[in-house]
Amino acid sequence: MAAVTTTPRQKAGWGTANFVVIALAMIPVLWLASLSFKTPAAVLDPSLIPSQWTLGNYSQILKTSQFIRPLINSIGIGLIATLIAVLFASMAAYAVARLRFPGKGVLIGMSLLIAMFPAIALVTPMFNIERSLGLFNTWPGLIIPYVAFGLPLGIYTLSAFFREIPWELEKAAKVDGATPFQAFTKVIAPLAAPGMVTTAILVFMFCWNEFLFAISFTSTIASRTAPASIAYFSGSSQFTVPTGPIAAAAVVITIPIIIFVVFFQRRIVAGLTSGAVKG
Amino acid sequence: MVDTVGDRQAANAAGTRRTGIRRTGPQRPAGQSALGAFMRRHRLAPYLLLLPSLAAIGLALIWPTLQIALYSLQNFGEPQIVGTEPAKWVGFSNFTTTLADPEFWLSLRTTVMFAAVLVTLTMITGTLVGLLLNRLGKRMAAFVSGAALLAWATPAVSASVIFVWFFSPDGGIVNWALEKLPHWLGGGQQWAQFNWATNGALPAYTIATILVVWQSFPFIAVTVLAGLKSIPTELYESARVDGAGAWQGFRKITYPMLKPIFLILGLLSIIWDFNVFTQTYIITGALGNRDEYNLALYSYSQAFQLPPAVGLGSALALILTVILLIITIGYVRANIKQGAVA
Repeated sequence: MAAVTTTPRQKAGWGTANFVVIALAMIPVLWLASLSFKTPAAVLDPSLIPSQWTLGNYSQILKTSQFIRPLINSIGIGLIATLIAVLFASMAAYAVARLRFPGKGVLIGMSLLIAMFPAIALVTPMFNIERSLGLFNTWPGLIIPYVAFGLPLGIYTLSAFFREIPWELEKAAKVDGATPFQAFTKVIAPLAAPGMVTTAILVFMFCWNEFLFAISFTSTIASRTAPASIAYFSGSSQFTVPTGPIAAAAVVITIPIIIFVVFFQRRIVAGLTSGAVKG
Repeated sequence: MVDTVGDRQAANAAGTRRTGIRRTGPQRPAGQSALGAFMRRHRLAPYLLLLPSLAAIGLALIWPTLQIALYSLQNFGEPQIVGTEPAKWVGFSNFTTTLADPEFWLSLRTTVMFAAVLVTLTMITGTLVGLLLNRLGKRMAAFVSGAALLAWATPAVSASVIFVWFFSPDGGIVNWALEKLPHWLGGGQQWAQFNWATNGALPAYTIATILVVWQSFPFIAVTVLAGLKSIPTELYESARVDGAGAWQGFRKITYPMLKPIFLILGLLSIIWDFNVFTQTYIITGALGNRDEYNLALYSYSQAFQLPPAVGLGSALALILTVILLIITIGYVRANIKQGAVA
């Protein structure tokens, strides 16, 4: 396709298309940032560049534990759930990608099915189970469902990566006198690491953005995550929406995501497309 | 590890070649090798590797699913949660009550129409952007898809916050722009105070549609791009030699080659768009407007309303699950056909 000769007019057309896509993708994020720097009076004026700048919205949310504590919860819950999910998923994906065993086809079908399970349908029974086990409004109360919902995604992505690894190298290493442990740590682990990092990024982003479980299985800031806490922001009266602080909090939870996209774009794309498009 | 595909021949071959190297087996402690031998004999390794995942999925997905099935056949409510009364079996009455509820049908209609519009718009936008990315040079493509991925990755809560504000009557740009529009284009003063979030399903879901399309087209775009890269360019060259234009090239080459991917993406989108919760929850104001419920919001309100009607909520959850199961089975079959899982 690159060899197609283009007239200047066509070139301008494609340039415009590029510009439109970039603008449409970025404008809402930029506008959110702009909103977070506006004073309460400037919020009412529909312009991208704030007429009056302020850092007050940030200092307001970063001063109270109503947002700081949920932020810490988000980081902790996200990291722990990601670690467990990637560990479990690596083991399962190794079995799926590498080993032959009865019931494998059924298992793969089942895990795809489970990955598509409507989370909303499970909220009530999980709520009751968590209450009876004393997990409601605790970190494990969110970590467990995040691991469970991250697993199908993780197993799926990782087994696609694991199938691409030249496993003969493992045999070659053993032939050369490496122990199975050495063959794994020196040969296979470095080859598997990129897939595991990609999976970890995707699972962490899922945990970080998750909202439904976060509002359902928490009741205080002891375990509420940052996205859920934004839904509980309140203004000075019932009828004033604190737009500025909400926008500032929304920016704060978006920043790590932007960093991920900027630094790991290729990995994220590889992870996303590993399933649907056969390499 | 011995039952690895093809490993046994390798082990045999290694045995003959591995003359100068000390075997590692006998150095292991006796207990470990006995356990290892037992595992190998019964080929337990795959199942042991799967065990942690299965346990987690069983605890957080299978157990609750069985619970819903149970609850849906019982009159489970406040007294049963507190434990003052035992649950009674009520047969299928929860299902008949749900199916007789006009609110259920209203939210089902909203969900189906919302999903239909979303899937169509997402697939078209995503495919167009994918085609655009395919024409760009490497660095430009990385830049454009990076910008698009930002939209995909933005937390649903943050995205909802900004889109709600876009459509807000207090300083939102949409009302401001509509107000400035000439009268014959539908503009005018009446837009100044128009509240998109609280005026019924159509305005609220207009926000939701734009928002969800914004968040989901990048996934379609990068997947379509990956598919496009797998099509040999010679096909297009020979088509061009035969005098085919761009549209014919798409219809006769791109579409048939990418059909399996389109099928998978379409089914995935249906499943996701059926389950939209976060965005609609925030736009409609945290369950504030009953006439703006989709099935997810309706189901959530059933579960957390006071007094809780767990039996009814579970029947609804099962109905939703069955609808999605039917679509999902299509998805799994498409996946197996595509050979992505094997």
